[in-house]
Amino acid sequence: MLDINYGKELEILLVEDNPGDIRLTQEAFKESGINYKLHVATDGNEAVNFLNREAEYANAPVPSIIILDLNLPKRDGREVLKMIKTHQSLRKIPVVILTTSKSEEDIFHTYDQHANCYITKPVDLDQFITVIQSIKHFWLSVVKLPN
Amino acid sequence: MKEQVSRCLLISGKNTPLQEIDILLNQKRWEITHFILSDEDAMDSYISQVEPDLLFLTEDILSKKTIEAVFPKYQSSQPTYIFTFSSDPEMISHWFKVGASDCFILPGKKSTFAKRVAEARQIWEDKQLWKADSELLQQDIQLIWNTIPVLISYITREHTFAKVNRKFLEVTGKEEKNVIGKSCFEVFPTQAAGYLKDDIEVMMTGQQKHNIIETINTSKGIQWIKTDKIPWRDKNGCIVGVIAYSFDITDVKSAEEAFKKSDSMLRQVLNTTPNPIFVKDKLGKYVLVNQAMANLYGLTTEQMVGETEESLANSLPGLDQETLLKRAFDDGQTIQSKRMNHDREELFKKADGNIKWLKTTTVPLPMGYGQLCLLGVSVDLTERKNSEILMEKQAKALHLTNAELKQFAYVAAHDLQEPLRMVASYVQLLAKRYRNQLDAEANEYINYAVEGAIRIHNLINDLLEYSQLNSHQNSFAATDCNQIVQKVVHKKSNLIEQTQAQVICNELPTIHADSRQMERLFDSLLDNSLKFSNGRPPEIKISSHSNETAWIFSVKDNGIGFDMQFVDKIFSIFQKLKPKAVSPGTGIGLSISKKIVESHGGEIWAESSPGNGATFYFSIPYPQENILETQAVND
Repeated sequence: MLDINYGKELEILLVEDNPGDIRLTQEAFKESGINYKLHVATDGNEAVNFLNREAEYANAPVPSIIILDLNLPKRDGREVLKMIKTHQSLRKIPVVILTTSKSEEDIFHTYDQHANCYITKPVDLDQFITVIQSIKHFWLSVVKLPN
Repeated sequence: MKEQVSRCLLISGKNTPLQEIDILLNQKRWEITHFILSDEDAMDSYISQVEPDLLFLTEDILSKKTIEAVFPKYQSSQPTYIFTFSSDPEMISHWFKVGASDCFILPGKKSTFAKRVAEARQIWEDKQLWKADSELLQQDIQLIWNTIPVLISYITREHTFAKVNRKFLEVTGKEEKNVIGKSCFEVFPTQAAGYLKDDIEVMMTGQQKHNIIETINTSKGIQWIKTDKIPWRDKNGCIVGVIAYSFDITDVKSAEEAFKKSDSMLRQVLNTTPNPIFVKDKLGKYVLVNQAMANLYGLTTEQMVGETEESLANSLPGLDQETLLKRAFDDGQTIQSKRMNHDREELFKKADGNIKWLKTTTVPLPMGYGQLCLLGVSVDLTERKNSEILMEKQAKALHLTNAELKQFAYVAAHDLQEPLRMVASYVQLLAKRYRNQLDAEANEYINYAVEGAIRIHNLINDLLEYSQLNSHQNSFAATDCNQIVQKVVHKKSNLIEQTQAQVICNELPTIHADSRQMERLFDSLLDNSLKFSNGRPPEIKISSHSNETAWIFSVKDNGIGFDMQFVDKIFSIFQKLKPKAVSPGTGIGLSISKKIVESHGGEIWAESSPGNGATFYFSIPYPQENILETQAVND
């Protein structure tokens, strides 16, 4: 399969407050061996500033994909999702919900807010790595994204 | 009568102007015989030959002698009218009877003889007419006397019965001979004293007495009569007794008694019923209230009648004015709009300070003559209302608790899982990165740590599932159990293949249930049977049958079974009968099964013995309306 993004550095925004999970995600991406840049926002406000290029994020790039946890300090993931999906230009960016929650209510509501997919974090490390690689493979190789 | 020929005998002296008399009496219907008196004996025989209807005697033969003296032997079987003429005033005022005959002496002189004959004839004819009339009248009276449905009796001064009519005998069932001439005490021993009192009063005062309500002994027992008593006078106006007219009023009286009885019964019913009942007229005045109604106002029923809510509000400061005025307004509206039925719930502050919730139904009540009243019946809802308020409070509290529990469950799911994932993931990462630097023992430790973490993870998930097993009635629908089992078997195909299990499923019914929960139920029962195999390939048989009220399902295996003394434990949460090494589950599957079955209104139970497999049964009741239908068919 032709990778249309081949050679281009990919900008990924990870919105995640747990340093352990940040590290694990980083490790998983590391193992996938693609050309990427992982930006991390550790709460909802940071994520919103990053996307709006506000405060210290004035020069932030527009990410190709957003990996969003739901339970975050300050503004939580649901609010960030709502902000993105009601934004004129940001709403085009795929948002992958990656969370510990298995709650049906969360699943229903995030899809209702136009989340692009919902994934529950597996407990097993290998499974976690598989999930991250699947995200990368699907969103960054299989699908065509708008420029 | 006038067509009949009447005979007239004229007895005269020699000087009578016969021609004149002839002219006067010469009419077809008069056969006139003239006899000139010569001697008295001859006259006698003559009269008896002629047998006249009308007899004229001329003045000259009568003179001053009495008629009796003239006709000492005059006897006629037919009443005869005898006329004579006299200018003697003493004679004129005298009239008398001779035998059966009436004798008239008319004033007059010889010169006016003809005129007087005519007068006599007129009198005679009038008399004849009257006689005929009075005969008829007599007949009529007799008829009335015999047929009138009134008891008539003539009672003498000595209180004996002189005369009674037929009805009297009929009603009393007595024979005439046992009444006439008998004393009142003999005929009516029980009532005589009462009768006498009135009789004496009438005789003493000479006044009539009406509408005496009394009883009388009859052939049918004691009956009610209404009597009028009038003085009985003789020809001279002297009171010789009492005439009594009695009407049989037993029917009226017993209807009256029955009405009184039913009226008092009705009142008793009204006053003993705990529901306040009232009737108001168009102006809002109470026409009728029962005791329960009066109690609300702290009044007697008599005090309330005639009052309006407004007048009560003004005179009874203990009562809540607003309540009363609202009542007046509502009732006024109902009666004006003539709405057939109006229900209202009202908070009634009673006179004693207690508060009652009343549901009052008011209905316009036509009372005849186009008059419209209002009937109101209240039901005391206080207890129900109080328990409703309590239930509302409890529901609110429960809702709050549920919301908190939900939040707690979410926190548990998310916040407990995250550190757990960290432990498991990083231990695994450690193993992965430092594989070559760790010995076998270190790897074993890592395995235990990961296994433990995964176990806690599963436990939390199961616990969460258990706590969130709420079945909502609206998620109930027709559920084909065959499809459910197929789906579960498909999901478990890996495990079934691994264990070489054989799953036999008989034809199952379609039931009214929550399909997701039914899936979970079959899943955990199948899981249970697959897990506890007896070293040989599991054989699992799923079947069902129906009884009067429910479907009974069974899942039978050939596994290790269990001792029936632990049967209660297997459905309890976290209770496991097998050591961890043998049972890989969390021990919550059967608890979840139990909860699902119970939320469907059914029961779950098991039969087993160690080494001989186990059979799990559960029942799912038919939907309520189906049960009713089945009952209706059975009836």
